[in-house]
Amino acid sequence: MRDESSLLQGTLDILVLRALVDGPQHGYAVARWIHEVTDGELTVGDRALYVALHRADERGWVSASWGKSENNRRARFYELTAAGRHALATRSRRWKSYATAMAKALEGLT
Amino acid sequence: MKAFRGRRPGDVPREIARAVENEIQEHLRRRTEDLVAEGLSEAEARRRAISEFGDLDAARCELGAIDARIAARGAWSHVGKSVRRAGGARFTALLDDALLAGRRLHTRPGSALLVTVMLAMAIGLTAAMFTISDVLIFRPVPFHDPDELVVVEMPAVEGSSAGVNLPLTVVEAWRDSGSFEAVGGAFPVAGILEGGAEPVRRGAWIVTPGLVAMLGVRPLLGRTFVEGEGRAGSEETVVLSERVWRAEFSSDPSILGRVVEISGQPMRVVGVMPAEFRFPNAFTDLWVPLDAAAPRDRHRELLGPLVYARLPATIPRDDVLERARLVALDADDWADGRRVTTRPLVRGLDEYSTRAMVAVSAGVVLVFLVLCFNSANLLLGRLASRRREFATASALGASRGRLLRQALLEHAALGIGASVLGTGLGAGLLAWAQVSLPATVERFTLNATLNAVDLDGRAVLATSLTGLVATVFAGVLPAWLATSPQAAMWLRTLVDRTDTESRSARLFARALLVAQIAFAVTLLVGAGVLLRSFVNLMQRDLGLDAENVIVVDVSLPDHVETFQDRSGNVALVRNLVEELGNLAGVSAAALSVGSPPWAKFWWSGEFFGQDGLDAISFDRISDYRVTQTFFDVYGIPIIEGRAFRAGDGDESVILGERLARILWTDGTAVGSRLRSESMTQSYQVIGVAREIRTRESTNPADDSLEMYRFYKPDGFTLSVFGATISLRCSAGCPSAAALRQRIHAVNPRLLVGDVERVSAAYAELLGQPRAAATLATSFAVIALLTFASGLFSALHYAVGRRLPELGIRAALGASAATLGRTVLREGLSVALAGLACGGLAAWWLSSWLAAITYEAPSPDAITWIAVIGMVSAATLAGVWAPARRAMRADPLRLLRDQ
Repeated sequence: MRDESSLLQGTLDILVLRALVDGPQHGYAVARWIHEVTDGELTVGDRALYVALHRADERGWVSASWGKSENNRRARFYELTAAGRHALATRSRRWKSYATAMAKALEGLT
Repeated sequence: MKAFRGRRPGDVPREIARAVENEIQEHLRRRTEDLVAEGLSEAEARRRAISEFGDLDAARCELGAIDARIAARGAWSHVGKSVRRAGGARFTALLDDALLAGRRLHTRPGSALLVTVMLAMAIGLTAAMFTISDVLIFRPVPFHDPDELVVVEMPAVEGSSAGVNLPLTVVEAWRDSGSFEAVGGAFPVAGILEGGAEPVRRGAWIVTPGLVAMLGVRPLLGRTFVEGEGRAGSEETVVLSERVWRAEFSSDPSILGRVVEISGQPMRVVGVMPAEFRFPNAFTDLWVPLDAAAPRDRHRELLGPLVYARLPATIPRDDVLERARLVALDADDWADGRRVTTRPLVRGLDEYSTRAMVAVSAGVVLVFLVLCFNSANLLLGRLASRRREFATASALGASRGRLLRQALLEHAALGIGASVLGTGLGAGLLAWAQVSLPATVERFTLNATLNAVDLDGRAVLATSLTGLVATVFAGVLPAWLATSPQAAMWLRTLVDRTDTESRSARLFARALLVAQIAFAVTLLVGAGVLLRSFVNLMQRDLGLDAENVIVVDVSLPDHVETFQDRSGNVALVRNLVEELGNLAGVSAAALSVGSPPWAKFWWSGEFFGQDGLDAISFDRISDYRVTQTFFDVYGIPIIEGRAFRAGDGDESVILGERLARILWTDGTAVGSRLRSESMTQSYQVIGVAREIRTRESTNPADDSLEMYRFYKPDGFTLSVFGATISLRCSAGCPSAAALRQRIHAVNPRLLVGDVERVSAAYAELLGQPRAAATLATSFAVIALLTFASGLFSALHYAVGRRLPELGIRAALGASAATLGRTVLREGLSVALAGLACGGLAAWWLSSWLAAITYEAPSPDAITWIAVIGMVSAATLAGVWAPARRAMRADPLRLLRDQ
């Protein structure tokens, strides 16, 4: 992880869950997705990303299984569970109100 | 990959670590490919991919740990959910602790399994052995007021076994005079039960109606006999055992009132006895009533019954017996000069077996304690790591009570699992012992008891509790040490500051291991000697040719008229021998009462032989009654004199070689007369036959002595006791069905017993030595396994303690092989010391064993090589895992842990 753009606590969980909303993905695809949708603004350390994925599995938010990827190699796929969707909904709601509050507080500054 | 192996956390199963590694490598491969596509060189791309990933080793550890937790939880999470739903919040904390305990056991299945198996083995074995000793030695017979129940005998000679069977007149007189509180008699009879596909032979006894009631046992179904039942002219009735009811009638609840055929006689079933009822012996399945007051003629002619009595509790025993003697004398002249004696219902074990039993039980208890100690030791082997774990949890805020509870739950689960498994194992062992111990040697086996042989609840409870205490103690100790300040101080007195084991503790552990291996070596050598003895017995010259001889018992139902018709009976016997001798494949046929290895009758008492020599007293002379062809059928050579001839009279006798040599030391037996006060007539010795030997005895001096009396073709009559037909086959022996058919063609009412091979009967006699050898070998193997597991747990513990030292040595350049050798040397030194001590003990033991083995071989080279080989294998098995652990000691990780 690079310190200058390190993520706020809990943000990575939301990003990882969000990455899986459109269907099961392997770890590398999740990393690329985050990189692309944030236009490279958020650099997520790969180690941290995998730890977040495995923790999500431990919490029951995603289920992991081995399968064949698009280039026919074995990869571990993560799929959002019902509990994961629920967690994503709660956390994104909380994050949005936090972001709105922060935006209001910082309004006017240049 | 190599670096990774050193860093793999101890708790992560190999397959999880492999999956994590695959996932990481797949990520790095994809990233490298993308970077190559962007224009980087392959090497540069790979380097960048790795650097972007971050600390690879740390990732492996973190991901592995998370996945191990997920895997362990898998099996437990659904249990948790359902219990939580049912229990409410109050139980949540307890439940969480239980689930944590489950997960902990799950992550270390190897040691949990080893502890459970060791304890289960200890519990099962000890409970089974306790049950066996208890039912055979300590527990009284399972009848009402057992102390007053006796067998009444009237021996003529002090200490003689003659006079066991009393005339019915005496029993009747005792009953009428009220000499005893209650008295009854029982005879064994041939019980051939018909109804199924094949007639089956079952143990049957004719009993006086009050006998079962005297024992105070209630039937499972229906009733026992009532007074007057069994009288001539009354309906024939029978009581069945639960075993027969279950096996032959599928536990039919409407069995009462049904008519079954027993030995050709229709009888109405009036009752079923409970499964645990064993009387007069363990093989009895059918009881038929006999009315002592009005006995039918046939019983007066036959042997008298075994007499059972209940002594009046209020009158001195000697007075009761003296009065009974006077009553008997008044009733029958037979009682003249005889005393009335009593003995317990069960003869029980002889002195030797009792001693052997106690010795074996003591050994089992020793093995039990050692196994408990080893289990605790194995658990304590993790003491250091567990203490750290608990200390961390305590520092993070876990309460002391909670930590102790977690440790308690985890180890109680182990203990309970072991006791469940052990109970099953014990019950299995008993069931196995009951079917596999030889039934022929009644004195030594489980059939010698009238008690039901079920696993003893007290023994299971006591052993389970001990096992539980051992595991819980070993499990809770680390938690207590980690959370108690006083304990930490106390610990310092045990363990010195370098965190290695104290010298005295190590010495004690070593001494215990040496004792274990010495015990195992002693048992192994003993088992080796018993095995050799067994082989010697198997190869023993029997003095006859038992191969290709088959025997079948035939008898007449006692209500058949031929029984009284002497000439008809004689013709029947003659026809039978001729018919069967003419069967295809049969070269010779003989008829006898008793056939080797079992005589049906024995003589005891004083015998006179050579003139001028004193009478010699014998306990047991086998008395065979044989036709002319008997010696040809069995291939027994006549070494002096001649065999029987058609013209010989009833008084002709042929003696076994040993008996002849004892009675006529000058070798002049042939032509002399054999006299005894036990026999009503004297006999003319016409020949001496070669000694026949059994395989029952381990001592040649214990072999029975034989005499063969002649039954002339016109003098042989069949009775309810029947006779044995022996056939020597030249080619293949006729089938049982063919024999049965031919016998029934001679007379359809003849009862035909099982067709048996004589060689099989001899093989059965090997049952006891075989059981002894098997038992000793099993014990030796268990002792060896105990040693291996003890060695493993001790070394595991030692290596665990010395890991920091081993790590430093590895860091200073010691090779893995050197480290492994250190552990191996420790194991070997213990094994060698044990081998030396065990060798000495075995040498002492083998001289003791010589007394009970046949041509006892002292432990020879083969035995020693086998023992040393087995000990080496067990040592290597115990050393292997700890040595590997030492070889893999990773200095970096160990130093970091410090």
